Amino acid sequence: MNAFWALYVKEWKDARYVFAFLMIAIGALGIYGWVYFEPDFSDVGPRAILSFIPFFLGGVACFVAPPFLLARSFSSEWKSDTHYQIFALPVPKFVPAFAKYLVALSNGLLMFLVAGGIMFGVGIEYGVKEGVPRVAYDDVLFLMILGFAVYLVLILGFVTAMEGVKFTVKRFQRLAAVGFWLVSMYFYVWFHGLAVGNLSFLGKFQIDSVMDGQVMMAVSSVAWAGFAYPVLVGLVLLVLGLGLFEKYVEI
Amino acid sequence: MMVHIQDLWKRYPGTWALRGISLDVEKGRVLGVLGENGSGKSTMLRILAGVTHPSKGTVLLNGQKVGVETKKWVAYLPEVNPFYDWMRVMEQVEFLSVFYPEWDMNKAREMVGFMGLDGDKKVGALSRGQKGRLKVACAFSWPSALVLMDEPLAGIDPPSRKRILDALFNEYRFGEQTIMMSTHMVHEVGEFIEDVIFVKQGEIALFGNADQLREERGQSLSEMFEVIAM
Repeated sequence: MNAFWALYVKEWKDARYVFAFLMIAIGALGIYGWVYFEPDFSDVGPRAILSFIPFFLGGVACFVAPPFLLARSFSSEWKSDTHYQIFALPVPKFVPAFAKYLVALSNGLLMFLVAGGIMFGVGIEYGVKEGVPRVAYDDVLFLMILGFAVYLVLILGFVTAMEGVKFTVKRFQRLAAVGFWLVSMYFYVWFHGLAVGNLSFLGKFQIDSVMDGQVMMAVSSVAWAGFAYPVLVGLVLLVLGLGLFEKYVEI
Repeated sequence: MMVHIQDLWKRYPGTWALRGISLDVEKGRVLGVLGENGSGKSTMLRILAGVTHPSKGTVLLNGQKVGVETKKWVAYLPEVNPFYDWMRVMEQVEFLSVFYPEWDMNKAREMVGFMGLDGDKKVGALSRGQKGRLKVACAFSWPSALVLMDEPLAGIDPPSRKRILDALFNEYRFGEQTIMMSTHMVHEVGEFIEDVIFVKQGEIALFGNADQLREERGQSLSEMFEVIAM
């Protein structure tokens, strides 16, 4: 086993019980929602609304859990003094931090595949009808997974950079982390239009309509720039956070 | 020279922990680092272990700057418990073995057994003394060239202290391994220490060969410690 894989496995083991709980909860919510799902949208009564709540909760868990688990992973090292062990290891200091990032990313994607897979199943069960055109589900599935992966790269990049800032400063650590978050979010939003415009050369992804298994025509499109910009920002923040850990974070 | 420290300073917010320490430690020596709490002993050892950065000064280990390469042959035992409570004892040992090419798992099992530890027990379930024993077991599971021990006996029960000292005396590779040990328990490790440094308020108050200092001053190391600390 090499050093990085040992660190990755260690991080995964450290989070395994929380991850297992979330997977079970998301799966259970999804299956419960599927069983009680009300496809009759013409009557938006309490049953119809309530049937969406399990999917909603599962989705919230997918979006909220990974960044908090990553932040907890960093903080728990300092709280339990295990950072003494990690920093003394003969590996660059950014390597354990990167292992934490990858575990949060991979666990988050797995959670989303469970939640998204159940919703996809609901869509197939209730949405596919003969002779009725519909949006191509594989296009939708691709966009869902891609969109969530992009979200994860962005938010986990933010968290890694925030943790790097937090443990670089000696005082007012949480304030520094929150301040960094606010400033970087401001600039992220500020540059969004400019960046997406400049990345428009990446083109668009066509969403097709299908009927009875045959592709009919493109009904919508999504610009690749909308995905590329957050990925670029997320990767820049990741590199910044890892750089801070390597150069400045110490005991 | 195994350890070369020149004009080492370390600042924390509001205070200087180290103030221009200069020190050379020859290979194969056992150096006792004595000083009151807050004198800078731990800070110096942390800088040598590469877990803390110096504010200024030069630190060389066997002629190399402290970094990833030197960590491959430096064993660092911090004062705190650095182990993961959720890991089992042998799981923690196996985790560490991945990072040190010369780690000897047979030796590690032997050391864990010698220390009276249950390999299947979770680290979190160990007593403070048992965790201290585990630190020493890990440090001597591979032939490190430099062992940095920060208060290895602090807060440890007498039976555990005896096991730790037995391991030190049995496993220390005379002439090949350099040990720097900070401790208050001078009376327990005094016979093991060859050279001694007294640190006071971030500066070296006294440094020399332990036997020569005892002879010159007509005092034990404990008595010298008390005088210097006043």
